[in-house]
Amino acid sequence: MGLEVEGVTVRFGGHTALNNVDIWAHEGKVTGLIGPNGAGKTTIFNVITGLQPPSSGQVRMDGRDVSKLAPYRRARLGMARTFQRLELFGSLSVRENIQVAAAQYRRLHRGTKETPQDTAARLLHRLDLTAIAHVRADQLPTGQGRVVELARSLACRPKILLLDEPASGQDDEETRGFGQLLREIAADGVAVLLVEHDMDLVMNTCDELHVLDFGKKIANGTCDEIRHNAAVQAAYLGTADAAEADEVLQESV
Amino acid sequence: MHEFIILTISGLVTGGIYAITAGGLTLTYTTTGIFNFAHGATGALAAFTYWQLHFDWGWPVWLSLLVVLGVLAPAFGVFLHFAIMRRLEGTSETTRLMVTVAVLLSLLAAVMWIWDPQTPRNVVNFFPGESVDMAGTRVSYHDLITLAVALIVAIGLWVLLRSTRAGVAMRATVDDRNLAVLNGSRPEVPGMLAWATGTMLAAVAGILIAPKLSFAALPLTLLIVNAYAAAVIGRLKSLPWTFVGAMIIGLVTEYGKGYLTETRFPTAGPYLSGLSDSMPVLVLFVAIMLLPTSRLRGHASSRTREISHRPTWTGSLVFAGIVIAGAVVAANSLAAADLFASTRMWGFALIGLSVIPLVGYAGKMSLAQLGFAGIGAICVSHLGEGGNPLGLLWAALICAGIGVLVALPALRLSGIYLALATAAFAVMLDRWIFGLPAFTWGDTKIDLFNSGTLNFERFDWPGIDISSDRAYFIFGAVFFALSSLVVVWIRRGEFGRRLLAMKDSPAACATIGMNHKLTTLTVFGLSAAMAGVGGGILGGAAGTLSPVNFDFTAGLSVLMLMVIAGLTSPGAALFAGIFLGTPLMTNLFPDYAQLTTILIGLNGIALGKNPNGFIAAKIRPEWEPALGRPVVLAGSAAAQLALIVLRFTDVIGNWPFVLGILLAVIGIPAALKIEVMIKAPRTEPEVPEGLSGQPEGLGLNGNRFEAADIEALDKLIALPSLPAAATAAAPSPILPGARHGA
Amino acid sequence: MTLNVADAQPAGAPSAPPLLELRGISAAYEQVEVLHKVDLAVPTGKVMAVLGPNGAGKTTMLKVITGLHQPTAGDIYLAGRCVTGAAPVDLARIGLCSIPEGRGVFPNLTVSENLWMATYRGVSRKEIEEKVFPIFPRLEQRRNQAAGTMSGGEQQMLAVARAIATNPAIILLDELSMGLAPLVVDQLYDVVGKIAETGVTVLLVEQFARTALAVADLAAVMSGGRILQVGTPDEIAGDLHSAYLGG
Repeated sequence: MGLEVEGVTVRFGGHTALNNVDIWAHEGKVTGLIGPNGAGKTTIFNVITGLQPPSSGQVRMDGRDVSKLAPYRRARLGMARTFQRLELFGSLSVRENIQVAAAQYRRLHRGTKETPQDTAARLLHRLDLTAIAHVRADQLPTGQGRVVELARSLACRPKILLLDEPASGQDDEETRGFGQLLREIAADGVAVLLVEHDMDLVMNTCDELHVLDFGKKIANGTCDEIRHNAAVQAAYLGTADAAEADEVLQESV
Repeated sequence: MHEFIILTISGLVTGGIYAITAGGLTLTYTTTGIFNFAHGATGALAAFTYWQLHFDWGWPVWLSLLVVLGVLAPAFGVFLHFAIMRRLEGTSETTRLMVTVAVLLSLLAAVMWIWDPQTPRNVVNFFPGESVDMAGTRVSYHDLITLAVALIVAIGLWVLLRSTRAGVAMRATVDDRNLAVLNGSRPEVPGMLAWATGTMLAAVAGILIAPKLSFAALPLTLLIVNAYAAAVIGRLKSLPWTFVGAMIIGLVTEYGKGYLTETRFPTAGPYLSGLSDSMPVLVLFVAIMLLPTSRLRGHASSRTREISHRPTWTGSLVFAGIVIAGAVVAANSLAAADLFASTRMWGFALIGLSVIPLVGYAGKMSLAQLGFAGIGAICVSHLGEGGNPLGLLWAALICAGIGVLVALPALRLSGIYLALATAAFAVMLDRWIFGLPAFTWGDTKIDLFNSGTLNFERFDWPGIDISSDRAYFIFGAVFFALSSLVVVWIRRGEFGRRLLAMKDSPAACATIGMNHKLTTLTVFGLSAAMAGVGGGILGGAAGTLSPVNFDFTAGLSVLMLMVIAGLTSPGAALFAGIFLGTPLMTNLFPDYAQLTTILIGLNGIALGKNPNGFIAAKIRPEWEPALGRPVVLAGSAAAQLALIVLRFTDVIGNWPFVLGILLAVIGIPAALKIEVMIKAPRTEPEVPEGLSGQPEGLGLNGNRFEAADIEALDKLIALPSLPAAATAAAPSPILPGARHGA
Repeated sequence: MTLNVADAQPAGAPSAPPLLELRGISAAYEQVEVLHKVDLAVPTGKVMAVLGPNGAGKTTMLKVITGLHQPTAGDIYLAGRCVTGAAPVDLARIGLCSIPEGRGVFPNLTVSENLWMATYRGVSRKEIEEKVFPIFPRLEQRRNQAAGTMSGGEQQMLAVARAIATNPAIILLDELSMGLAPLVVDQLYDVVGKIAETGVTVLLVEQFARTALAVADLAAVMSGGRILQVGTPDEIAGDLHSAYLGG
């Protein structure tokens, strides 16, 4: 089931940031959300997590309408996210960042055996953060900060995981390892929705892609389908006429 | 009807003055993002300067006004901008707020220092005695001038911001600072202009209102609280709404004064007299509550210059031990009068401690902690009669309850609005509630402050007698030390992490499923309870307390000291206690009654440079390494113990004893430094690979400097190596300078 | 000092210095280096388009040029003079005009007030409006409207209008097309093309490659903080697919 977003529209003043967008992310899959800058990707994340109330439309988790729920209620149902502009708990150490989330989870799920300390230790190890466990989060470079945010969201044991440009600030090798990690997370039954500009990562990791442009969904499909989709090429390469774009590209290849 | 007209006119005049004040406040806030708590104090300073020039030195009115409004006030504004406000970029809203509070305290103290409050002074209206008839009432020229000035200011500000390039640039800077810079605006200019204009407006308001208030620094300074309400109605940005708000507040206040009188309401009258003074504060409270909820956001600047350390258990236990040991020593060495005066320090220290979880950890600004202490003192006095310690428990419970009640409407607020709401609450307690006469509720007669003073007895703990000052002093120290450990325990535990997380990123908290409302209420209640207990301990120490002990500015001093020393350190609370609760400053500098406040203020102003407080910035780095070296600690402790024994056996007197203790304490970091120096290996630094000697000495005093050295040096500093030919062409193996020597 | 074309191009000199030149510029956020020794020369009077995917470092490069972000290494030359480390205000006043990413307008100022902000180079308010309103009649209709309440396209028009009103020597444009409908983008670039014809040098950064290439005299491809290729628009167009969509 996973996540379904149906007919979401967001208007800021006279500007329509999202226009009747449908997207979804199935559990066990990594779903990519791509599009040029300003296409509305972060806005849709904010709508899904409840930080931005939509003008219209619905967000469903496992078939349940969560559109009216406060952000923390959605999180309690199993939705976690990372932020494009880092939102770490800067005055806490890396370990404490994870512990806060783990303790929050345990407080809501009394039966949890694993203590927050153990959860933190496990995730530190899994994401290779043990060496910086004691470092204050606001001292980290952006790339590592993103990994800590991911660790923190994993501590909530999410069913739906929204990642906003998790690989920016990381080098090529880190990025490759990151793709592998995302596949493993999805394999545990999590619906992963990934916004990312690193096309190699997206194309190698995602099972399905949605493409946004000017706040509208212009395509969805597998990576291969998207790669050869004329509308997508037009969106990225900047021709209003899809056929012409295709022609240009065909010539050039 | 006649009375109504009179009240309306005086309401509009009062509103006019608020409008001038609030206009200046809004102007500086919108252009620089700094909410200037010291706005009223600036007005007071200007009013006193005007008094000095015109009434004391006899300068003509026009010249005095010209000098004050045209020269001194703008110059002072520019000075504020360059010396203080400009440096606040990149600091948190709390720091910015506290710096202006510090300016307020310093100005207030300075005014009281220069113009001794004991000497009566008078400022009379412009054109005294002159008036015109309007709608059957006599309106003085002064009031007409006030109204006219208010209108001119309102229109003038409008014109400045809309129809001058400088004003448009000011607004542009607020909209997008970087973009304004890219459009050729020097970012300094709008700020400077705003502070100059804002200060000038504060001065105008101060001079206009001076004849209406009893001419003293404090009421003039607190005039600002009334103007806040107007500024909040304008949401701190809309000048027209600010103007409307000011008029509403002026009218409400005057109607309140005129109609809520004892003659009209014989029974309720005494209770209402304070209410009309609190009217603006009530309006402020209502206005804040009607503000739209701010959307959940991430932290505005992800990386502020502020940091807070996680305290270690060792360090905290050492701190608690030193506090108790120090208290035992002090209790046995202080003169009786000083000891009695100093017992109050533990009350203030506990109130200071209550600031830590709320403001330090959770980042929720509260200006009402001393107000809660006042409530706690009332509880202890009434419910803990005969020194029953249960009074403290009641104080904690009742304060926690009231704290939660205050926090409930404030849940949606943050930053400046939360600070204003708690300030409104504190001022309301101060102006109205604490001064209420006795009343009956059901069958119970309630007399909050016994219409004047509260009486306390020392607590009657089973088995321990703490009725002597010495015993009470030590009791206070133990109580404080244990409480500081509780605070450390909070910080190290899950609750503390939640508080910090909430401060760092509310948005991220929500996305991990945290309900910030519950956490906020809890921490408000907890802090209020701690402050209430502190108030009770303070009462037990002092014996009698009156509402003056809990007034709003005193509360600002407590908070200020905490911020100066570091909002997250229990040591800061101790510092606040010593500063406010002991006769230290009066003993040291008996002739300078205002020095304490001035010092607090000046240190607060320095916050812009070091927003973490001096404990985190200075003391901790020096002492932290000591904790890892038990030998040094034990040595110091042994020395202190020996000194204590010597003092008790009267081998040494008080002075050598105090000096010795100080040496033993200060000696810890010093000993460490010496140890490090001794242990440091005295080996020569390694010669870099390929060089024939230290690079500094190459070619000097007959040292060799050859082609191989050049090559190695190039490699070392990552220069591309010289072409081989160039090296080969070098005339001799010794190159005195050439490429590297130039 | 005022930059103008004559400064940069001694009459008839074949090897005139470029109006804007970056030599070995590196820049970092915190410890992460995002620009690696970038060299780029924008010839006087030409339109140079820098293309590349998100995160390539294009915006950072513009911030370095405008003085908002200090480079960790390298120098910037304007008309042959080194201006590394100059304050953004001073750069703006000598004629380096920039429209930053997003909407380059002051949202709470009216259209007319926004244009007023462009008088810092000595062009009067009246002259500006006389110059700009014929090009963008829509702005004249909205003269007294707060800029933030206009549509995205109108806001970007205003930003362009303000930029050209200052009589700049060089204009930097960051993602002019972001979030705008293609028709609006075409119209905006039409104006950019006309400005360039009057001899103003333009450096534009775009994701929207085709439109940008249509107005550019020269193009560069940027990726991973490096300039990969500089050439004519035709040469560049061929290699774009892989830079944007991977593999």
